[in-house]
Amino acid sequence: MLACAMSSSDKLKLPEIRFLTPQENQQLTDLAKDIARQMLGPDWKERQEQRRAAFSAKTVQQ
Amino acid sequence: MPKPGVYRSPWRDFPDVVIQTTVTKLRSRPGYDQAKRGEGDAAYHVVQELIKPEKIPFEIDIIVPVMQFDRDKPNALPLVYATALAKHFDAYLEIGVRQVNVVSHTFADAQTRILGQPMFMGKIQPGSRVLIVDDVVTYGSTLANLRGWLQQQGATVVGATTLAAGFGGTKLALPDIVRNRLLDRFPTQAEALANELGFSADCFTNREARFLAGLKNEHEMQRLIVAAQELTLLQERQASLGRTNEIDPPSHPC
Repeated sequence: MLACAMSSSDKLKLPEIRFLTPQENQQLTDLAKDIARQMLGPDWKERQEQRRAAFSAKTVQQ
Repeated sequence: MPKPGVYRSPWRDFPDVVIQTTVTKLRSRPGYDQAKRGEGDAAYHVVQELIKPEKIPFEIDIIVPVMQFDRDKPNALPLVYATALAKHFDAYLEIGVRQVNVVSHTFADAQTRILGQPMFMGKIQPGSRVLIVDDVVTYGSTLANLRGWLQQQGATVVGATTLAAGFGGTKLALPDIVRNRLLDRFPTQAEALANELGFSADCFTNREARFLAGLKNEHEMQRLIVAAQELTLLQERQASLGRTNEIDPPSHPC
């Protein structure tokens, strides 16, 4: 059945959905980095990169 | 990388979600509301009191939190929980994957949860073994779609964990008995709804399928299909107006 074939009083109320704004996207990044810095230490980024490099090397070998 | 959208993978023998406590206990923690509104310190205290990482039995390379906005604030709980697990397991914490649409599921009813399917963006390392992390699982749509998004890129999601679960929420995989009950009741409409949402009926979660199988009649199912069609059109229109980078309508049934 097409949407237009159902009377408007019979239709479900649609949930509110919107897309993330660039500002909200940045807020998520900032929050994640802040939490990582506090919980993993100030050098978390470097250690993460080392981990990523080691994992990439392992998958290439396999 | 695939374009942002709704992706799901067949469940096969996907394990139950590992949880740390009950929803009631989680919500009664001091600081819970602040944590849901993006306060990292409050989230840290909530998570520290609850987690026992040894409950998680998987071999993990990467941990991916559900990074999302809940209404107008970022939810700090999945981030803090995932970071604590990354520290414990010495795993890579992936913070580049995130939900691109804002669909508030907290306190939402079943229809809203099923219609408001989360979409994700962001790269993952192909070949990696991934643990996905959220604060609460209820109908499982968010975890199902995050799993689908990552597996679409060649990663293997080995498991999921949340701080708490709604009743029956830990079992994401669709049991045959529930699938058959759904398809017996709504032989064509169940697949039509799934397709409209972006996947196939085999990819519904256990709780989604149980809810749908319990609908009163075909008319109730038809109302959901019509609403899903309208939402697809709405999101296409939003995308064409540049409300997001490159959102495509759901296009990858599993």
